[in-house]
Amino acid sequence: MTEIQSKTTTLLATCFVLLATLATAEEAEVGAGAKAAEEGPAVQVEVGTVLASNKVKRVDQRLAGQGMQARLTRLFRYQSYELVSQEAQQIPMGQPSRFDLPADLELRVRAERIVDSNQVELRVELLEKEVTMVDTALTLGQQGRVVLGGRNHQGGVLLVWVGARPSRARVQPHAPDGSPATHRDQALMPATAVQE
Amino acid sequence: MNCLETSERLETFHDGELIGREMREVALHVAQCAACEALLAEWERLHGLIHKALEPKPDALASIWEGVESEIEAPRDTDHGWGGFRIAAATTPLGIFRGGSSVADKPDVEDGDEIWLRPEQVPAHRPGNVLRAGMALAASLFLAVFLLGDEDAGLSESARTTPTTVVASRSQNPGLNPAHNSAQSPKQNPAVQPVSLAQVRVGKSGPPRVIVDREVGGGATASAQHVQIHSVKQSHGEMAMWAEPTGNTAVIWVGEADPQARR
Repeated sequence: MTEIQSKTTTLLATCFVLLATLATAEEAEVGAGAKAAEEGPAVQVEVGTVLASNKVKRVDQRLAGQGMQARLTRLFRYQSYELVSQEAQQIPMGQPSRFDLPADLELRVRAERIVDSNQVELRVELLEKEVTMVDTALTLGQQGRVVLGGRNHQGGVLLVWVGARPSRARVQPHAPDGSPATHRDQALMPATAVQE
Repeated sequence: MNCLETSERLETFHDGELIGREMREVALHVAQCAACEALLAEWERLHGLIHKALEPKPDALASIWEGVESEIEAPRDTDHGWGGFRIAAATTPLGIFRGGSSVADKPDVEDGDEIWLRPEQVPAHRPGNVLRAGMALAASLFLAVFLLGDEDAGLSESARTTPTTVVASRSQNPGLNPAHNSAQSPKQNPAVQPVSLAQVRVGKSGPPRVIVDREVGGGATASAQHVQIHSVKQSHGEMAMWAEPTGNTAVIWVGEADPQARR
Protein backbone atom coordinates (compact mmCIF):
# COMPACT_ATOMS: atom_id res chain seq x y z
CA MET A 1 0.00 0.00 0.00
CA THR A 2 2.83 2.30 0.92
CA GLU A 3 4.63 1.38 -2.27
CA ILE A 4 1.57 2.21 -4.30
CA GLN A 5 1.22 5.56 -2.55
CA SER A 6 4.88 6.31 -3.20
CA LYS A 7 4.61 5.50 -6.91
CA THR A 8 1.49 7.62 -7.22
CA THR A 9 3.17 10.55 -5.53
CA THR A 10 6.20 10.22 -7.81
CA LEU A 11 3.97 10.07 -10.88
CA LEU A 12 2.00 13.12 -9.82
CA ALA A 13 5.18 15.05 -9.08
CA THR A 14 6.59 14.16 -12.49
CA CYS A 15 3.41 15.28 -14.20
CA PHE A 16 3.45 18.53 -12.27
CA VAL A 17 7.07 19.25 -13.21
CA LEU A 18 6.33 18.44 -16.84
CA LEU A 19 3.29 20.69 -16.96
CA ALA A 20 5.15 23.51 -15.24
CA THR A 21 7.98 23.25 -17.76
CA LEU A 22 5.58 23.33 -20.66
CA ALA A 23 3.69 26.33 -19.27
CA THR A 24 6.91 28.28 -18.70
CA ALA A 25 8.10 27.59 -22.23
CA GLU A 26 4.77 28.61 -23.71
CA GLU A 27 4.70 31.80 -21.68
CA ALA A 28 8.19 32.71 -22.80
CA GLU A 29 7.24 32.10 -26.41
CA VAL A 30 4.07 34.17 -26.13
CA GLY A 31 5.97 36.99 -24.46
CA ALA A 32 8.54 37.10 -27.22
CA GLY A 33 5.86 37.07 -29.88
CA ALA A 34 3.90 39.80 -28.18
CA LYS A 35 6.98 41.96 -27.90
CA ALA A 36 7.69 41.50 -31.58
CA ALA A 37 4.10 42.34 -32.41
CA GLU A 38 4.07 45.44 -30.24
CA GLU A 39 7.03 46.96 -32.03
CA GLY A 40 5.02 47.63 -35.16
CA PRO A 41 5.83 49.88 -38.08
CA ALA A 42 5.78 53.58 -37.41
CA VAL A 43 5.02 56.61 -39.49
CA GLN A 44 6.72 59.96 -39.29
CA VAL A 45 4.01 62.60 -39.42
CA GLU A 46 4.88 66.24 -39.76
CA VAL A 47 2.41 69.01 -39.13
CA GLY A 48 3.09 72.68 -39.67
CA THR A 49 0.91 75.72 -39.25
CA VAL A 50 1.32 78.87 -41.28
CA LEU A 51 -0.42 82.18 -40.81
CA ALA A 52 -1.13 83.64 -44.23
CA SER A 53 -2.21 87.24 -44.60
CA ASN A 54 -1.87 90.33 -46.75
CA LYS A 55 -0.66 92.69 -44.06
CA VAL A 56 2.92 92.89 -45.25
CA LYS A 57 4.91 91.16 -47.93
CA ARG A 58 7.16 88.70 -46.23
CA VAL A 59 7.76 84.97 -46.19
CA ASP A 60 9.17 83.07 -43.26
CA GLN A 61 12.59 81.85 -44.26
CA ARG A 62 12.07 78.54 -42.52
CA LEU A 63 9.32 77.68 -44.95
CA ALA A 64 11.82 77.56 -47.77
CA GLY A 65 13.84 75.05 -45.82
CA GLN A 66 10.74 72.92 -45.42
CA GLY A 67 9.99 73.07 -49.11
CA MET A 68 6.73 74.75 -48.24
CA GLN A 69 7.39 78.24 -49.54
CA ALA A 70 7.19 77.23 -53.17
CA ARG A 71 4.18 75.05 -52.57
CA LEU A 72 2.26 77.75 -50.75
CA THR A 73 3.04 80.44 -53.28
CA ARG A 74 1.93 78.12 -56.06
CA LEU A 75 -1.35 77.53 -54.28
CA PHE A 76 -2.19 80.91 -52.79
CA ARG A 77 -1.90 84.63 -53.47
CA TYR A 78 -1.26 85.84 -49.96
CA GLN A 79 1.48 88.38 -49.38
CA SER A 80 2.73 87.02 -46.10
CA TYR A 81 3.41 83.50 -44.85
CA GLU A 82 4.57 83.06 -41.29
CA LEU A 83 5.42 79.72 -39.75
CA VAL A 84 3.56 79.57 -36.48
CA SER A 85 4.19 76.03 -35.33
CA GLN A 86 5.75 72.85 -36.51
CA GLU A 87 5.81 69.42 -35.01
CA ALA A 88 6.84 65.96 -36.11
CA GLN A 89 5.85 62.76 -34.40
CA GLN A 90 6.60 59.14 -34.96
CA ILE A 91 3.30 57.45 -34.50
CA PRO A 92 2.60 53.74 -34.44
CA MET A 93 0.27 52.27 -36.99
CA GLY A 94 -3.39 52.52 -36.08
CA GLN A 95 -2.73 54.70 -33.08
CA PRO A 96 -4.34 58.16 -32.97
CA SER A 97 -1.97 61.00 -32.36
CA ARG A 98 -2.74 64.54 -31.40
CA PHE A 99 -1.15 67.78 -32.55
CA ASP A 100 -2.05 70.98 -30.75
CA LEU A 101 -2.35 73.92 -33.09
CA PRO A 102 -2.87 77.65 -32.59
CA ALA A 103 -6.35 79.16 -32.25
CA ASP A 104 -7.68 76.28 -30.17
CA LEU A 105 -7.32 73.94 -33.08
CA GLU A 106 -6.37 70.34 -32.73
CA LEU A 107 -5.28 67.88 -35.34
CA ARG A 108 -5.78 64.17 -34.83
CA VAL A 109 -3.86 61.90 -37.10
CA ARG A 110 -3.98 58.16 -37.36
CA ALA A 111 -1.76 56.18 -39.70
CA GLU A 112 -3.89 53.47 -41.25
CA ARG A 113 -1.37 51.61 -43.37
CA ILE A 114 1.66 51.89 -45.57
CA VAL A 115 1.02 51.48 -49.28
CA ASP A 116 3.72 50.43 -51.75
CA SER A 117 6.39 50.91 -49.09
CA ASN A 118 6.53 54.68 -49.49
CA GLN A 119 2.96 55.96 -49.29
CA VAL A 120 1.07 56.42 -46.09
CA GLU A 121 -2.66 56.17 -45.69
CA LEU A 122 -3.86 58.55 -43.02
CA ARG A 123 -6.99 59.58 -41.28
CA VAL A 124 -6.80 63.25 -40.43
CA GLU A 125 -9.26 65.21 -38.39
CA LEU A 126 -9.12 68.92 -37.70
CA LEU A 127 -11.10 70.02 -34.68
CA GLU A 128 -11.93 73.32 -33.13
CA LYS A 129 -13.03 73.05 -29.51
CA GLU A 130 -13.99 69.43 -29.96
CA VAL A 131 -16.04 70.22 -33.05
CA THR A 132 -14.79 68.58 -36.21
CA MET A 133 -14.07 70.99 -39.01
CA VAL A 134 -12.70 68.43 -41.44
CA ASP A 135 -12.51 64.68 -41.30
CA THR A 136 -10.58 63.18 -44.17
CA ALA A 137 -8.98 59.94 -45.24
CA LEU A 138 -6.08 60.33 -47.62
CA THR A 139 -2.92 58.78 -48.95
CA LEU A 140 0.25 60.83 -49.10
CA GLY A 141 3.22 59.98 -51.25
CA GLN A 142 6.73 60.90 -50.23
CA GLN A 143 6.38 64.31 -51.86
CA GLY A 144 2.75 64.64 -51.02
CA ARG A 145 1.32 67.04 -48.52
CA VAL A 146 -2.17 68.17 -47.79
CA VAL A 147 -3.05 71.64 -46.60
CA LEU A 148 -6.09 72.22 -44.44
CA GLY A 149 -6.93 75.89 -44.56
CA GLY A 150 -9.60 78.44 -43.99
CA ARG A 151 -9.64 79.22 -40.27
CA ASN A 152 -9.51 82.97 -39.67
CA HIS A 153 -6.81 83.96 -37.21
CA GLN A 154 -5.22 87.29 -36.30
CA GLY A 155 -6.22 89.06 -39.47
CA GLY A 156 -5.18 86.22 -41.69
CA VAL A 157 -5.95 82.57 -42.21
CA LEU A 158 -4.29 79.47 -40.86
CA LEU A 159 -2.88 76.93 -43.24
CA VAL A 160 -2.13 73.58 -41.65
CA TRP A 161 -0.01 71.24 -43.69
CA VAL A 162 0.39 67.53 -43.07
CA GLY A 163 3.11 65.33 -44.46
CA ALA A 164 3.90 61.71 -43.68
CA ARG A 165 6.38 59.03 -44.56
CA PRO A 166 7.11 55.54 -43.31
CA SER A 167 9.54 55.64 -40.44
CA ARG A 168 12.45 53.22 -40.09
CA ALA A 169 12.05 53.26 -36.35
CA ARG A 170 9.57 50.85 -34.85
CA VAL A 171 7.72 52.15 -31.85
CA GLN A 172 5.60 50.53 -29.22
CA PRO A 173 1.91 51.25 -29.57
CA HIS A 174 1.54 52.19 -25.92
CA ALA A 175 3.81 53.95 -23.47
CA PRO A 176 4.22 52.39 -20.02
CA ASP A 177 1.63 54.79 -18.59
CA GLY A 178 -0.90 53.71 -21.18
CA SER A 179 -0.78 56.90 -23.22
CA PRO A 180 -0.03 56.66 -26.93
CA ALA A 181 3.67 56.40 -27.52
CA THR A 182 4.73 59.10 -29.93
CA HIS A 183 8.12 60.59 -30.45
CA ARG A 184 8.01 64.34 -30.84
CA ASP A 185 10.95 65.62 -32.81
CA GLN A 186 10.12 69.24 -32.81
CA ALA A 187 7.59 71.33 -30.99
CA LEU A 188 6.33 74.87 -31.26
CA MET A 189 9.03 76.93 -32.81
CA PRO A 190 9.58 80.65 -32.31
CA ALA A 191 8.49 82.46 -35.42
CA THR A 192 11.04 84.78 -36.94
CA ALA A 193 10.06 86.18 -40.25
CA VAL A 194 12.35 87.76 -42.76
CA GLN A 195 11.56 90.49 -45.21
CA GLU A 196 11.64 89.40 -48.83
CA MET B 1 -1.85 61.93 -71.71
CA ASN B 2 -1.25 64.52 -74.44
CA CYS B 3 -3.64 66.83 -76.27
CA LEU B 4 -4.21 64.46 -79.16
CA GLU B 5 -5.03 61.53 -76.93
CA THR B 6 -7.25 63.73 -74.83
CA SER B 7 -9.12 65.20 -77.78
CA GLU B 8 -9.84 61.69 -79.06
CA ARG B 9 -11.48 60.88 -75.75
CA LEU B 10 -13.25 64.16 -75.09
CA GLU B 11 -16.58 63.08 -76.51
CA THR B 12 -16.70 59.89 -74.47
CA PHE B 13 -15.41 61.78 -71.45
CA HIS B 14 -18.14 64.34 -71.88
CA ASP B 15 -20.71 61.59 -72.20
CA GLY B 16 -19.50 60.07 -68.97
CA GLU B 17 -18.44 56.86 -70.65
CA LEU B 18 -14.85 56.91 -69.50
CA ILE B 19 -14.08 55.22 -66.23
CA GLY B 20 -11.23 54.78 -63.82
CA ARG B 21 -7.74 55.88 -64.68
CA GLU B 22 -8.62 56.95 -68.22
CA MET B 23 -11.31 59.26 -66.91
CA ARG B 24 -8.96 60.74 -64.35
CA GLU B 25 -6.18 61.23 -66.88
CA VAL B 26 -8.45 63.04 -69.29
CA ALA B 27 -9.90 65.14 -66.50
CA LEU B 28 -6.46 66.02 -65.20
CA HIS B 29 -5.26 66.97 -68.65
CA VAL B 30 -8.31 69.12 -69.28
CA ALA B 31 -7.77 70.74 -65.93
CA GLN B 32 -4.25 71.73 -66.89
CA CYS B 33 -4.61 72.47 -70.60
CA ALA B 34 -6.43 75.58 -71.68
CA ALA B 35 -6.85 74.37 -75.28
CA CYS B 36 -8.43 71.10 -74.28
CA GLU B 37 -10.56 72.85 -71.72
CA ALA B 38 -11.86 75.14 -74.45
CA LEU B 39 -12.51 72.10 -76.63
CA LEU B 40 -14.47 70.48 -73.84
CA ALA B 41 -16.42 73.69 -73.30
CA GLU B 42 -17.27 73.67 -77.02
CA TRP B 43 -18.48 70.08 -76.67
CA GLU B 44 -20.63 71.11 -73.77
CA ARG B 45 -22.07 74.01 -75.75
CA LEU B 46 -22.84 71.85 -78.78
CA HIS B 47 -24.34 69.16 -76.63
CA GLY B 48 -26.54 71.74 -74.97
CA LEU B 49 -27.73 73.03 -78.32
CA ILE B 50 -28.50 69.55 -79.60
CA HIS B 51 -30.25 68.63 -76.43
CA LYS B 52 -32.32 71.79 -76.60
CA ALA B 53 -33.23 71.15 -80.21
CA LEU B 54 -34.37 67.62 -79.46
CA GLU B 55 -36.24 68.58 -76.38
CA PRO B 56 -39.90 67.57 -76.73
CA LYS B 57 -42.47 70.34 -76.37
CA PRO B 58 -45.32 69.00 -74.27
CA ASP B 59 -47.59 71.99 -74.91
CA ALA B 60 -47.23 71.61 -78.61
CA LEU B 61 -48.01 67.90 -78.50
CA ALA B 62 -51.06 68.59 -76.37
CA SER B 63 -52.32 71.13 -78.83
CA ILE B 64 -51.80 68.67 -81.66
CA TRP B 65 -53.90 66.10 -79.89
CA GLU B 66 -56.58 68.70 -79.28
CA GLY B 67 -56.54 69.42 -82.98
CA VAL B 68 -56.75 65.74 -83.81
CA GLU B 69 -59.63 65.24 -81.43
CA SER B 70 -61.56 68.16 -82.83
CA GLU B 71 -61.03 66.88 -86.32
CA ILE B 72 -62.18 63.39 -85.41
CA GLU B 73 -65.32 64.74 -83.86
CA ALA B 74 -66.02 67.25 -86.63
CA PRO B 75 -67.86 66.05 -89.77
CA ARG B 76 -65.44 65.44 -92.58
CA ASP B 77 -66.15 67.99 -95.25
CA THR B 78 -63.57 66.89 -97.73
CA ASP B 79 -62.39 63.53 -98.81
CA HIS B 80 -59.01 63.56 -100.47
CA GLY B 81 -59.24 60.00 -101.44
CA TRP B 82 -56.50 58.62 -99.20
CA GLY B 83 -58.30 58.61 -95.92
CA GLY B 84 -56.26 61.34 -94.48
CA PHE B 85 -57.17 63.57 -91.59
CA ARG B 86 -56.72 67.22 -91.09
CA ILE B 87 -54.63 69.09 -88.68
CA ALA B 88 -54.95 72.80 -88.35
CA ALA B 89 -51.69 74.58 -88.80
CA ALA B 90 -52.70 77.10 -86.21
CA THR B 91 -52.32 74.44 -83.58
CA THR B 92 -49.37 72.73 -85.17
CA PRO B 93 -45.95 74.17 -84.56
CA LEU B 94 -44.07 73.55 -87.74
CA GLY B 95 -40.78 73.02 -86.04
CA ILE B 96 -41.55 69.65 -84.64
CA PHE B 97 -42.60 68.34 -88.01
CA ARG B 98 -39.39 69.11 -89.80
CA GLY B 99 -38.84 65.43 -90.24
CA GLY B 100 -42.14 64.92 -92.05
CA SER B 101 -41.63 65.20 -95.77
CA SER B 102 -45.00 66.62 -96.62
CA VAL B 103 -44.57 69.46 -94.18
CA ALA B 104 -40.92 70.00 -94.70
CA ASP B 105 -41.69 70.45 -98.33
CA LYS B 106 -43.99 73.32 -97.46
CA PRO B 107 -41.86 75.71 -95.48
CA ASP B 108 -44.10 78.63 -96.29
CA VAL B 109 -47.06 77.35 -94.32
CA GLU B 110 -48.66 80.05 -92.30
CA ASP B 111 -50.95 80.04 -89.34
CA GLY B 112 -54.47 79.21 -90.35
CA ASP B 113 -53.40 77.06 -93.31
CA GLU B 114 -54.52 73.51 -93.28
CA ILE B 115 -52.02 70.77 -93.74
CA TRP B 116 -53.04 67.39 -94.95
CA LEU B 117 -51.00 64.47 -94.06
CA ARG B 118 -51.21 60.88 -95.02
CA PRO B 119 -51.77 58.76 -91.91
CA GLU B 120 -48.36 57.16 -92.30
CA GLN B 121 -46.87 60.61 -92.55
CA VAL B 122 -48.08 61.74 -89.17
CA PRO B 123 -44.77 62.72 -87.58
CA ALA B 124 -45.38 60.89 -84.36
CA HIS B 125 -45.53 57.67 -86.32
CA ARG B 126 -42.46 58.23 -88.43
CA PRO B 127 -39.52 56.01 -87.54
CA GLY B 128 -37.10 58.94 -87.75
CA ASN B 129 -39.03 60.95 -85.24
CA VAL B 130 -39.61 58.00 -83.00
CA LEU B 131 -35.92 57.34 -83.12
CA ARG B 132 -35.11 60.94 -82.35
CA ALA B 133 -37.64 61.10 -79.57
CA GLY B 134 -36.26 57.86 -78.17
CA MET B 135 -32.74 59.15 -78.39
CA ALA B 136 -33.73 62.38 -76.69
CA LEU B 137 -35.54 60.46 -73.99
CA ALA B 138 -32.59 58.11 -73.52
CA ALA B 139 -30.20 61.05 -73.41
CA SER B 140 -32.36 62.82 -70.86
CA LEU B 141 -32.62 59.71 -68.74
CA PHE B 142 -28.91 59.09 -69.02
CA LEU B 143 -28.11 62.66 -68.05
CA ALA B 144 -30.58 62.54 -65.20
CA VAL B 145 -29.13 59.29 -63.90
CA PHE B 146 -25.57 60.45 -64.44
CA LEU B 147 -26.02 63.85 -62.88
CA LEU B 148 -28.43 63.05 -60.12
CA GLY B 149 -27.61 59.43 -59.55
CA ASP B 150 -25.81 60.03 -56.28
CA GLU B 151 -28.70 61.04 -54.11
CA ASP B 152 -26.53 61.24 -51.04
CA ALA B 153 -24.43 63.90 -52.62
CA GLY B 154 -27.39 66.03 -53.47
CA LEU B 155 -25.37 67.98 -55.97
CA SER B 156 -26.30 68.94 -59.47
CA GLU B 157 -24.36 69.71 -62.60
CA SER B 158 -23.66 73.20 -61.38
CA ALA B 159 -21.80 71.77 -58.44
CA ARG B 160 -19.48 69.96 -60.78
CA THR B 161 -18.51 72.86 -62.91
CA THR B 162 -18.76 75.83 -60.64
CA PRO B 163 -16.96 76.72 -57.45
CA THR B 164 -17.86 74.09 -54.98
CA THR B 165 -19.80 75.17 -51.98
CA VAL B 166 -21.23 72.61 -49.66
CA VAL B 167 -23.08 73.75 -46.61
CA ALA B 168 -23.88 71.55 -43.69
CA SER B 169 -25.04 72.11 -40.18
CA ARG B 170 -22.71 72.48 -37.24
CA SER B 171 -22.81 69.45 -35.05
CA GLN B 172 -20.73 67.17 -32.92
CA ASN B 173 -18.71 64.49 -34.60
CA PRO B 174 -17.88 61.08 -33.19
CA GLY B 175 -14.28 62.02 -33.64
CA LEU B 176 -11.15 60.21 -34.56
CA ASN B 177 -10.61 57.39 -32.20
CA PRO B 178 -9.87 53.71 -32.54
CA ALA B 179 -13.53 52.84 -32.14
CA HIS B 180 -14.58 55.16 -34.93
CA ASN B 181 -14.50 53.23 -38.15
CA SER B 182 -13.09 55.21 -41.01
CA ALA B 183 -15.35 53.31 -43.36
CA GLN B 184 -18.42 54.47 -41.50
CA SER B 185 -21.11 55.47 -43.94
CA PRO B 186 -22.63 58.93 -43.82
CA LYS B 187 -26.00 57.43 -43.10
CA GLN B 188 -24.57 56.02 -39.90
CA ASN B 189 -23.15 59.37 -39.03
CA PRO B 190 -25.71 62.00 -40.04
CA ALA B 191 -23.79 64.71 -38.24
CA VAL B 192 -21.30 64.86 -41.06
CA GLN B 193 -22.39 66.09 -44.43
CA PRO B 194 -21.07 63.80 -47.14
CA VAL B 195 -19.76 65.34 -50.30
CA SER B 196 -19.39 63.56 -53.57
CA LEU B 197 -18.10 65.61 -56.42
CA ALA B 198 -16.93 64.86 -59.90
CA GLN B 199 -14.84 67.91 -60.40
CA VAL B 200 -13.89 70.67 -58.09
CA ARG B 201 -12.41 73.99 -58.92
CA VAL B 202 -12.08 77.36 -57.33
CA GLY B 203 -13.47 79.89 -59.77
CA LYS B 204 -14.32 79.16 -63.35
CA SER B 205 -10.75 79.66 -64.47
CA GLY B 206 -9.21 78.79 -61.15
CA PRO B 207 -6.17 76.72 -60.39
CA PRO B 208 -5.90 73.11 -61.49
CA ARG B 209 -8.86 71.27 -60.15
CA VAL B 210 -8.70 68.26 -57.98
CA ILE B 211 -10.36 65.40 -59.76
CA VAL B 212 -12.76 63.52 -57.64
CA ASP B 213 -13.49 59.86 -57.94
CA ARG B 214 -17.19 59.19 -57.65
CA GLU B 215 -16.62 55.49 -57.19
CA VAL B 216 -15.93 56.05 -53.51
CA GLY B 217 -19.21 56.85 -51.87
CA GLY B 218 -19.91 58.93 -48.86
CA GLY B 219 -17.32 61.58 -49.29
CA ALA B 220 -15.41 63.75 -51.64
CA THR B 221 -12.37 62.09 -53.05
CA ALA B 222 -9.58 63.65 -54.95
CA SER B 223 -6.33 62.67 -56.49
CA ALA B 224 -3.27 64.60 -57.41
CA GLN B 225 0.05 63.08 -58.31
CA HIS B 226 1.24 62.59 -54.77
CA VAL B 227 -1.97 63.04 -52.83
CA GLN B 228 -5.09 60.97 -52.96
CA ILE B 229 -7.99 62.18 -50.88
CA HIS B 230 -10.32 59.26 -50.41
CA SER B 231 -12.99 61.03 -48.44
CA VAL B 232 -13.67 64.40 -46.91
CA LYS B 233 -16.39 65.16 -44.48
CA GLN B 234 -16.99 68.51 -42.93
CA SER B 235 -19.35 69.45 -40.21
CA HIS B 236 -20.07 73.03 -41.18
CA GLY B 237 -19.18 75.86 -43.48
CA GLU B 238 -18.04 75.80 -47.06
CA MET B 239 -15.47 73.61 -48.68
CA ALA B 240 -13.26 73.70 -51.72
CA MET B 241 -10.38 71.56 -52.90
CA TRP B 242 -7.65 72.11 -55.39
CA ALA B 243 -4.07 71.08 -56.03
CA GLU B 244 -0.93 72.73 -57.23
CA PRO B 245 0.11 71.95 -60.82
CA THR B 246 2.88 69.60 -59.72
CA GLY B 247 0.37 67.47 -57.88
CA ASN B 248 2.51 67.49 -54.77
CA THR B 249 0.13 69.39 -52.58
CA ALA B 250 -3.63 69.37 -52.31
CA VAL B 251 -5.70 71.87 -50.39
CA ILE B 252 -8.87 71.22 -48.46
CA TRP B 253 -10.37 74.59 -47.74
CA VAL B 254 -13.07 75.01 -45.15
CA GLY B 255 -14.68 78.07 -43.71
CA GLU B 256 -15.84 81.29 -45.22
CA ALA B 257 -12.48 82.99 -45.60
CA ASP B 258 -11.44 83.81 -49.13
CA PRO B 259 -8.89 81.15 -50.10
CA GLN B 260 -7.10 83.59 -52.41
CA ALA B 261 -6.20 80.66 -54.55
CA ARG B 262 -3.54 81.11 -57.17
CA ARG B 263 -5.03 81.27 -60.65
